[in-house]
Amino acid sequence: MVDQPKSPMDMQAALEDVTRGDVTRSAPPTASTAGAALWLKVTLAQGLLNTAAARFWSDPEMPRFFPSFLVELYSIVRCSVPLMERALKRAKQLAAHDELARVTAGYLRLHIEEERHHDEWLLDDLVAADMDRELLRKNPPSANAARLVGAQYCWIEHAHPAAVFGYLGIIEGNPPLPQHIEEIRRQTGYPSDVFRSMHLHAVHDVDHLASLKATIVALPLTDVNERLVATSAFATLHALVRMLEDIATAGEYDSRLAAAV
Amino acid sequence: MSDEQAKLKKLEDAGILEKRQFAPEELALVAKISDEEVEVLVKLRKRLGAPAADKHHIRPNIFV
Repeated sequence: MVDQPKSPMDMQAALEDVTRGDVTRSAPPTASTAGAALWLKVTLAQGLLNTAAARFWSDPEMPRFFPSFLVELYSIVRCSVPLMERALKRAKQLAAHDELARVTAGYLRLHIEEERHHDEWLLDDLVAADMDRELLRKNPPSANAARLVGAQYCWIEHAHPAAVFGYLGIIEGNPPLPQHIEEIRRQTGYPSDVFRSMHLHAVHDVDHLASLKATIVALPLTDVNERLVATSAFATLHALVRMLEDIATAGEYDSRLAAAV
Repeated sequence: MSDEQAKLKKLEDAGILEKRQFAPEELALVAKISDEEVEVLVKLRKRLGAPAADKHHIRPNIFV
């Protein structure tokens, strides 16, 4: 089932929702100087990720390493909701005395539901690319996915769960474009069923990006927390660039994940 | 040149910041970026090379 885009009113309501756990009240999304500065840093980092992406997708060998990309993408997507759930749990623990944690919890509670089951949708697409669902499920997340996601657990546990906004800002800051997905489909020759998740994200991530930006620019950040979230964003950028480089260098994907004929 | 202007110039020279894409008030905020953060971005830009001018429609296609 396709997730329904949330209206600005829904987003406002979610941010102000006071009904669960120790999340008592979230701040209305009014831009803060620190939040706006943070978003601009994320924007600069997104530009660099786009450069890495342009190199990756323009590589003449891309059709050969595209299956590896799909497997890596699954590695990330399967980790994302559990990551956000951990951040939400930590934010709720802090929320009674921490405004930033309250806002973080309000956002994550909504966004987790928007992203739930996307790993299963992506598995459907990988099966359409002749991969085996159960083997993919049993395949551990890659070192690159662990590097990307694992850093967030460190900051959630030992700094502040709002660090996850740096991760989300980079990953969700560049929604797929239908034109580009179609270009990849033509180049790889895969059936359109392989690209269903990408197309769904092209449609819905535009709304997700708007909500995320509205939340980030309104975050009640101290200088320390602003630097934390920026560091998280830059680390996410680094990890994704390395992941794209590694996929392009390694080339072939692990054929043991192929479905039996 | 002030420190803040120098940081903007460094980001612009490295191909990280296109001033025309930002409002003056946004540039004032960008200029408050720390020296360490500027270095992180500039190093990565050097590693990646210049942005491809005709590839603006290309996206990472990585989502959560």
